[in-house]
Formats: sequence, structure tokens, C-alpha cells
Amino acid sequence: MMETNVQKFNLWSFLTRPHPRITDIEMKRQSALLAGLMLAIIVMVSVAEALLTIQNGQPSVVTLGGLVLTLVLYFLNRTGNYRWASVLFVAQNFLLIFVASVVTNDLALLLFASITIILSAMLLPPRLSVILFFVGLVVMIAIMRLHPMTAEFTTLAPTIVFFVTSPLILVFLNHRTQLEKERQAELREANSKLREHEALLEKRVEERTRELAVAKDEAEAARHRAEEADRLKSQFLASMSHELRTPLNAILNFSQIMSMGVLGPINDRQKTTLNEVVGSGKHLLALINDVLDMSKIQGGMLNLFLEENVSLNEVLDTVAGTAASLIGEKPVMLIRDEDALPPVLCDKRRIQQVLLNLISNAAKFTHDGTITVSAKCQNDQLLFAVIDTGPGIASKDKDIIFQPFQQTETGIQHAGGTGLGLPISRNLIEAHGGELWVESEAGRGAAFIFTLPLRSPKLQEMLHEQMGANHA
Amino acid sequence: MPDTHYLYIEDDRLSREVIKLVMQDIMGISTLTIFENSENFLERLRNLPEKPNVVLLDIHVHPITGFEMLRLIRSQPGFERTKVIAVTASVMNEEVQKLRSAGFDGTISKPIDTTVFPTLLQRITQGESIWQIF
Repeated sequence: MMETNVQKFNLWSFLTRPHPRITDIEMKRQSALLAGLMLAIIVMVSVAEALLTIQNGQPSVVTLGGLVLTLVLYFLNRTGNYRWASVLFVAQNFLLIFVASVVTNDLALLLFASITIILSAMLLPPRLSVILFFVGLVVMIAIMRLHPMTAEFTTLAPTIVFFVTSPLILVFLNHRTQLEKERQAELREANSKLREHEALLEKRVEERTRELAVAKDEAEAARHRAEEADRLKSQFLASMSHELRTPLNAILNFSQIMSMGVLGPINDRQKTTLNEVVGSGKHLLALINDVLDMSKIQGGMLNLFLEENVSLNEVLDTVAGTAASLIGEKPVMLIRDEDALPPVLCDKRRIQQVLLNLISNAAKFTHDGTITVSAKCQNDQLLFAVIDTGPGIASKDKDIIFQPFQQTETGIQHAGGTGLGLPISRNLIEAHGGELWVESEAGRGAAFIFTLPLRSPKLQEMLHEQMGANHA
Repeated sequence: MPDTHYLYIEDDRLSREVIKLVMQDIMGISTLTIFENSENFLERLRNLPEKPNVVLLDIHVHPITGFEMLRLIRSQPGFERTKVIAVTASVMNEEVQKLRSAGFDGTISKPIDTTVFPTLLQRITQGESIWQIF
């Protein structure tokens, strides 16, 4: 069914197709319309001619003439001469009607002049239609004058109809044309607005792209500056380390050596005095180390030196040895409650530092009772605790003790601290992925507890980076 | 057992004094040679009457650095098994890594602990690699 429709449509469109050289859309349609009308007329007139021939025995010359003329106009239109074809077509139509009415002496035929007006409104420019209307009117009046006929209502009717309807039709068709034109104008304006918008957007996009490129460059530059700053900081800390430790080397070692009597006999008082020097020297070393550590932490440059399979039981042994000397003559007992710990990935030196810090704090502040060092393995982490029977820590102080450069009242009274030990310890433990906290009440001793994860992906990654940096 | 021969390269006067006191006066070692800098290092190394078994050196000496000296030592025939220890005041984690991967047999940080140093030296002489960084 679709096939035949398409075929039919093709035949029709083939026959009514406007010539390619017509570019205006309206004229294209009008040309197609004209072609269609003329085709219809050709068919009807051919049929009429055939009937007349049959009836009269001979073909009607007039009808034949009209057929030929129409054919000529059809081909005129087909070849793209729309203007001529349309004007002649309408003129022919008009003439036909007027001639017919005069010849047949039947004014009623003038009624068909209305059709001509409709045709002209559809096919011709509006001004031409208006002219045609008035021309037709004049001709009609002329005919009626020159051929005096009974001016009955029935004969006047065509004129009136023509008179009344034509302008209306003209106006209406004109209105439609205008509407069409306005719509087209609207469309054109919308299109141009769209194009303007497009251009604007493109400009914006270009601008933004340029801005982004600039921002990217600035970010790159800032990053380089930051990296350079970090490098300088790192270098500074490294050289500071060196500069500060070298003279201390001399102070500590010479004093130690002298006090050992290597450079000559030393009496007891000299020995004691030299030991004071050594003690102060060691204290100074601890301070320097703490300050350097804090600088590194605050500069984000604290790096752990990770080792695999560290035996923290050994570390605890080392630290316990030092604890004894820290406790000294005080009636404080050291209790060790340690499980056999699995080997762990950590920075051995730093964990020792933390344990030493906690135990020396406990030793410093506890005057009698016990210091318990405990180490347990709990699921996927190790749990360490240093528990003392000292003065304890008030809840208001629990945060202060972990703040750098701050000491509690009690802390300050026990001279010999930097206020950096605990903050550094906490940072070191947190760098391992663990936590360090205190559980205590004033007057009831204190328990400093920290955890170390047994399997930490973060530490594994750090180890890889550490090894990678090695081979770089 | 033949005496162990020691070589120490250090440009800081005080550090040299300390090591001399500890090794010669306290430990009673008589086979210690000291270079006050690394000028003409290779020549001087070759000209030593006895090949050192243990070399202690400071990384930050001039004109040739400790790393370069290590390389030179290892390039000499007969020095493949010499223990080379870095004695240095600047010991940060990254540096320890560098020392390890450069091929040092250990490091001792300054200020040295005079009570522990003799033991460390003994362990080194007996073939242990010491990474005593505290």
C-alpha cells in the first residue's frame, strides 16, 4: 500500500515540481500550485472537448484554443518563468470569463470572476491582485453598460458577489501571506540571535580556556616554589643537626674521658663535677633532638626509618635497663608484664624513643610505688602501657600535656623537661598508624597507653617508598 | 691473631682528639692511622705500610667526600673485605638509607657514646655490620 502511494506521489510531484532555478520558497510553492491547477484544467478541458466533439461531431475550436494556451503556459511555468506564466494564466482566466459572458449574453458567468480573484491572490503579488480587481470591476461595469441587459437582481447578483467577496478574499489571503512573512522574519531573527549566542559562548569558552591555562601555570609555579621551600627546610634541618651535634661531641666525650682518668688521675670532687658537665651535655643533646624532631613534625618532614620484623621485646629490654637508672634510689619498683610479641614493621629507634619518653616521665614523677610496663598482642594490634603510681593528671591537664611547649604546674615543678616529649611521642605513634592517650585521675597515678597496628597498608606503602628512594 | 689496623679520616680537630683518646688511651690500640683530610686519598691509602682492616670516616670531609672515598677503597684490590664505617654527626633517616645503599658496613653517630664505642668497634672487627644510629 505504501509503495503505490509513494509511486503516485512521485508522479504528481514530478509533474508539479518547480524549476530548480526558482529559489524563493513562496514562489516555489506557487509554481507547484500553478502547475497543479493547470494540470487539472488541462484534464477537465480535454474531457469537455472530447464530450463536445462527440456531441457536435466536430471539435470546438475555442476549447481547443484554450487547451493549447493552457499547455503553453504549463510549460512556461515548468521552465521556471513563473511570473509570466502566472500573470498570463490569470489574465486568460479573466478574459475567458468576460468573453464567455458577453458571447452567451449571460451575466451570471461574471460570478466566476470571483474565482479569478482568488486565483490571483494565490498566484500573484498582492498589488497586482488589487489592480486586477479594480480592472475587472471597470471591465465588468463597461460590459454591463455596453450590453444593456435587464438589470434584474438575478443578473446583478454576480456583480455583488464579486464585489463583496473578492476584497475579503484578497485581504484574507494577504493576511496569510503577511503572517507567513512575519513568521519567517521571526525565525530569521531567532536564528541570528542563536548565532550571536553561539559566537558569545565560543568567545567565553576561549576566555575560560586561556584563564585555565594561566591558572595551571601559576599552580605549577606555586608547586615548584613549595617544593623548593621544602627542600631548603630539609637541608637546613640536616645541617642544623650536624652543626649542633659536633660541638656536643667534644663536650660529652672529653668530659667522659677526663672523668675516666685517662688524661691523669682525677679526685672525687673533680669526677663529680665532670659528671655534672656530662649530665648537662646529655640533657642539652636531648633538648636539641626534641626541638629538631618538633621542627620536622611541624614542617611535615618527619620520616620514619622502617624496618621489618622488629622484635619489640628486645627494645623493651633495652628501655627497662635505662629505667632502672632513671628511678635511681627512689622506692619505686619496676614491673614488667610483657607478652611475647610478634615481629612488627616499624621504626625501631622511634618506638624506643616513645617507650623511653613514657618511662622516664613515669620515673620522674613517681616517688614511691610501682611503674608497670605492659605489652600485649590484641587481634591486629599491639597494646603498650606504662602505668605509674605517681600524682596522676587532672582532666583539665590531659590535653595540655600533649601540646608542644606547654607543661602543667606539676611538670614545671619537676625541672628538666622541654614539654615536647609527649607531643613528639604522640606524633611518632600516629605516624605508625597507632594512637597514644592517657588514662588518669589526679592523685591516682597515670596510665599512658599506645597501640601499634600489626599489618598496616600505609606502613607497607611507606616501606616501598623508602626502598624506592633508596634505589633511585 | 694479627693486630687489626685502623684508618680514620676526619677533618674536625675535636672529633679526632676524641677518637684518639678513646682508641689509643682507653682501648690501647696502637695501630691507628689518622688522615686529617681526604686530599690525595687514593695515593695516601696505597702508600700505607699496612692495609687497614677497618676504615672509619666522616662523610662530610673535603675535598673528596666519604661516599667517594668508599668507592675508591672498594676499587682497590685487597680492600674488598675492608670494613668501612661512617662516623657522622648528621644522621637523618634518608641519610642512613643512602649510606646503606652506598655499601657502607655500618654507621656510628656522633656524639659517640664512649662507653659503648669500644664494644661496637670489637663487633665490627669481628665482622658485624653495625647500624648504631643512637
